[in-house]
Amino acid sequence: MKPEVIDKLRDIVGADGATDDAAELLVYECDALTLFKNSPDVVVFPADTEQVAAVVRLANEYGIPFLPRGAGTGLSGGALALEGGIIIELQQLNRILSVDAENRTAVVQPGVVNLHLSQAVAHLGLYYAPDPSSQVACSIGGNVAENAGGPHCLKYGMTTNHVLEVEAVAADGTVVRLGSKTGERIGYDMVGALVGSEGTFAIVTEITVRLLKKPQSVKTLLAAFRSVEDSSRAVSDVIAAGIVPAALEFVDRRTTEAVEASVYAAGYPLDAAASLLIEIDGFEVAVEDTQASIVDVCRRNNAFEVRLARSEAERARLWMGRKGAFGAMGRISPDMITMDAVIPRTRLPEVLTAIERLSEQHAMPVANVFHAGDGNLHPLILYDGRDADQVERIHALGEAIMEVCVGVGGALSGEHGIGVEKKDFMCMIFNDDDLAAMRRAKGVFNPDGLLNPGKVFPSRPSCSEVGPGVTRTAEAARRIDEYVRGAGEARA
Amino acid sequence: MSPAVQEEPRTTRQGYLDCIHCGLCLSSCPTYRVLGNEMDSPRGRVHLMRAYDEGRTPITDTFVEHMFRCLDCRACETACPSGVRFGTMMEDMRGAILDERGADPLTRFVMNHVFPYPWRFHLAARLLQFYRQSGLQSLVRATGVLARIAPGYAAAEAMTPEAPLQTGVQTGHTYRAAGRARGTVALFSGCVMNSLLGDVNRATVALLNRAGFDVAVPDGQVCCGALANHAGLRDTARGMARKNLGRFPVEGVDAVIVNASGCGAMLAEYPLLVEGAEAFSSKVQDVSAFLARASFDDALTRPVRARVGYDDPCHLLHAQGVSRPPRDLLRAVPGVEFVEVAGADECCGSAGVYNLTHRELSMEILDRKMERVRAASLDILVTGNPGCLFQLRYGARRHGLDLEVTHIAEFLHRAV
Repeated sequence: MKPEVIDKLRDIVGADGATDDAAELLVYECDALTLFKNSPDVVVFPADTEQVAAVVRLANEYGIPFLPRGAGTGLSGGALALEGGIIIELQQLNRILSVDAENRTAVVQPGVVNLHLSQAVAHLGLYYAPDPSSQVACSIGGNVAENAGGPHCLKYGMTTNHVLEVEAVAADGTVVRLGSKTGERIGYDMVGALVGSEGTFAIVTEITVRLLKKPQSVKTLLAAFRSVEDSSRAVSDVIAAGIVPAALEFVDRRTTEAVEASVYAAGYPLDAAASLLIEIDGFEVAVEDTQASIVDVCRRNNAFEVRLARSEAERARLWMGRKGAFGAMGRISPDMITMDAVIPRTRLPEVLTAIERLSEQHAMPVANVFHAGDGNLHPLILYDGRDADQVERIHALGEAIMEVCVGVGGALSGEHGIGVEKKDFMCMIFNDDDLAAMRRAKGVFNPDGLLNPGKVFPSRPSCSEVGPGVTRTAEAARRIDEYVRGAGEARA
Repeated sequence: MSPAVQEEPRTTRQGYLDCIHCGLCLSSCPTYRVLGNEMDSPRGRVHLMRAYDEGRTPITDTFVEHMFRCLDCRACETACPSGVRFGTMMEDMRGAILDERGADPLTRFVMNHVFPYPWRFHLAARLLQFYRQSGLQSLVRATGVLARIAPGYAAAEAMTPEAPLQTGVQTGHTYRAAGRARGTVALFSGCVMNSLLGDVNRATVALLNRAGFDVAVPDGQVCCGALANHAGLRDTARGMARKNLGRFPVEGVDAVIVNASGCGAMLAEYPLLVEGAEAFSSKVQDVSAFLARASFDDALTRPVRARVGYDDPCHLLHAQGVSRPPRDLLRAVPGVEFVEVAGADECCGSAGVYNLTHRELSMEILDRKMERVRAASLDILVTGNPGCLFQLRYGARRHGLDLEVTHIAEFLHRAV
């Protein structure tokens, strides 16, 4: 990058507000998806919206790629500087600007840590509902970019359901304000378009979010099963009974082992093939009623233990275990890739069996910990990045797992985004015409493609050049039967 | 099946192989909270260590800057689901940096020639006392002369502890419990503790005696080596460890009691420096944890009417996992209104000599803490480590708070 660009960036953000030091750039070569790495040419730390806009205008003037970054906890490579250029790090914009307790809204800057908002409004009896597992560290700006979810999105919806208004710097550097403080999406639903656009439409610099009142009563249950099938059936039966739990999470044996060995040890039974973490909230009377029904469903599906958290501390411990689970995998593996796919709930048992079969075929261990209530799977593929052969195999295994999920009528991503990780998988679901429609939408917001290039869309213009296409996933659907049957035979 | 490639045993620094890059450590890190950049976060530093070992970056000036900007507070270890042993990795990395670049002469001199010799440390402390008592300090502060000729030293001068020099406990002596003893403990008397905070050592002995334990203070013990180890001077630290290990009895004592949590963490980790130190290290206990386990709350009968808060020393909370015992003891004192201060588990910015080497950042971290201490409207703030004690006392002066900051042993002594 030309030295004059660095100088001009420093004019905007101050001498300390930009770095092009090689060692410092190195830590910005990836987010929480470490499988792909590329250093930016420069990282800037703007202090306000105007500085963000000025940096974006400068990038346009010189034709340099640029992208926003929050806490770098994203799992699809959304904050990866794929073509170098400028990373606009928004961690300095970390203030809660205002809280309107009566109308239950808050205005925050994008660098505010998700959990810090809930902590800051706790004394008002309020909280911010979307709760990704990384909520102790991830930023709300990043949540908006990825339309982040979390265990409690089963009942309360994703980030998009909680964003009322945004101020954003458009790809050409103009500052726009979209949505409304009261949440009505007047005219086109531009907030809806921006949330989940993975940092390719605009850079959000201020967010008005909805806050919720803390429920009167919250109960958390842990149900342990001897077989994955039993636990999956329990999930389906809970939902079929018309219950909408606040959260319904699945933890398998491998994950349990890692969590129980960590500082977040939660007391998950080590002898369970799978455990379900079920939370219900609402008015006290209703909660107690629902609790009884859930215990009943679990027992009928052969749960050998159903435990109710007796105290707030015990409840917190159960959740800390779940939320620390991805990180705890470091105990059993040097590297890991967290996949994200959604399947119809009813297909859980067969898909989990298929994943297990694929894991064996590719000789790569897979752990499963996920949001079972909405069928949002997170197969964790464990590998050692120092072994090129393993890296090759995870790409193949990841693709095979995705084919299985899509084959049963699922989706590519529940909450982590497509990013770079799954862009070529887009062809499993969309054909060239579908993708062209999406490309046109991107063209409107990001006409020169300088904002976060190389994301979301397949690496080649046409799916026929990419390889796996819609037809292949239909083929995969047929193969699932084989996997399931094969697994059954192997066990017998 | 474990995917890890099999190879020869890992080095200490290769703890980075446990890091999955999830980022859950980020907001636990004091420097990341203030600076908001990845290279001053635990994850960023781990990433840099790995990059260095893999030959992807040399040790550059900025590399060194970020490694030494870490407070070594280990809050990230408490946050890490993967169990990355960040503190020892950082000490190891700093050692490698010094191997390549050498330590600055002053640090090397002080660590190698002052701390290992109790009498030299006492001499330095005496000079400090002379400076204060001779009126020279008042003169320097009143005229602001130091600020004009050497602002850096003026800043350090402003932080010199106000505590009068106190005679501590006598090494080579055993302090007997009244009546028949329940057991015997050995006291690690420390360098700073026994010179600048002698009354805390005396209070510690009195409490242990009151709890029914004879207290032996082994002769010939020296500085624990923590400051040297944090600075990356591992050989210096190792020498001190060997000396102490030779002086402390392991058989016949119920515990080795420490009232400076930085030292306690170091003593407990001697096995990482010296072979065969496990028996000694397994006996190391912080005075608060030991007293709580010995049901000392029953002895706390004299009321202290005050609003009292507790600030966790990082090396007690994160390195030794002690957080409840001191709080339980404080709550047990009649008349005490115990207040949980927000952010009590966050570093105060003292971090050994960090407040001298990284003054600006240390002050920013301290200011955040003092704002929350102010909001708690305390009469007394209790902690358990000399560095934190001096830093928090300075913080109270800096923020004009009418607040007493004291060591837990000294505070509990008032209640018996």
